[in-house]
Amino acid sequence: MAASMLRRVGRILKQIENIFALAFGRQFPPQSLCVVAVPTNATNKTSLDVLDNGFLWAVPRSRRSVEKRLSRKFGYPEYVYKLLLPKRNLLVCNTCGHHYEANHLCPHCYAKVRTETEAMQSTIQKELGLNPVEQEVVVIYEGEKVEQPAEFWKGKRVIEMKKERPSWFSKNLLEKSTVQPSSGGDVKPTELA
Amino acid sequence: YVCHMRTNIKYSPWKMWYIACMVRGMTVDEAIKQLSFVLKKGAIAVKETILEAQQIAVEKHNVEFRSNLWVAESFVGKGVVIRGMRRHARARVGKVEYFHCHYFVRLEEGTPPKHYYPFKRELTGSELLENWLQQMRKRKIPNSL
Repeated sequence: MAASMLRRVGRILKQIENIFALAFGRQFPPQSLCVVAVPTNATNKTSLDVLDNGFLWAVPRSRRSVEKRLSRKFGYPEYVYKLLLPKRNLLVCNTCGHHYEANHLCPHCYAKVRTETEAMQSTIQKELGLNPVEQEVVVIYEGEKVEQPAEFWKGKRVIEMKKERPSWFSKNLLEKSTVQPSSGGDVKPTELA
Repeated sequence: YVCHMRTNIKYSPWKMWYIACMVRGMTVDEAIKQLSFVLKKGAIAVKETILEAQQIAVEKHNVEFRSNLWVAESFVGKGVVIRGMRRHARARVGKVEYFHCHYFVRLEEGTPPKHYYPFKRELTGSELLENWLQQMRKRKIPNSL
């Protein structure tokens, strides 16, 4: 009770001080009537703190020579050449006819495979959702489920794509080659001119 | 010849200059092929501009073969600049500038010249010999007669 009364009195006194400050713009009590000298510029912002922080305002000291300017623009052929050079390792893809960089995938063919993969992934996500995958997931296209007997699909989660199988996507991905190993000793030349 | 341009591409003109420089003196097919493998934003705009120019050449300027064109001129100009301010720490202000550029291209019919920049060509044996002789003859012992 007494504590709350004291707090209220304190608040009222602060409000009086604020009013005095707003009315006169100076501190309370005024400088001339103070018994003890109170520092005035305690919280005054006469000078900007920003300018006093000792920052070096950066400015160019001398004009950049033309050699410096040109080396910034062109670089050095031995180190970092800034000019763009045409690439000499571009080849033509045999399947699609677009250009590709050597030792990289053809971007056109890759985009084609990527769209198909994304379609497969979205159908898998739609069908299986967030269930944990405990069985093998098999993705098949239209008309392929009938080819195998029902027992073949028993322990597997079968996802049917409502599309025809793309011509470039072979069913037989696990067999490396259909060519039989030869028993003869002659070697056929691979690329005949 | 066929002139074409694209204005106010949202890309810095100084960065676009490198792409414009690369394309100069190439055949149109070669330019388009190389631009597809340049990993810069401006390359997309330049490639589209050149394709448009090729199309205009075939349809309106009586060009017979669309591959028989080469890039005679390819340069960049400064476009709109949108200026603004941004704040930094400690009451400091920064200037922000959003640059746009114009890209200009001129296609000519026929095969491109072997050297677009004459000073860049490889000198022949006789020219190299002449240069060497001049260098040798320029030598002098300083402060001599």
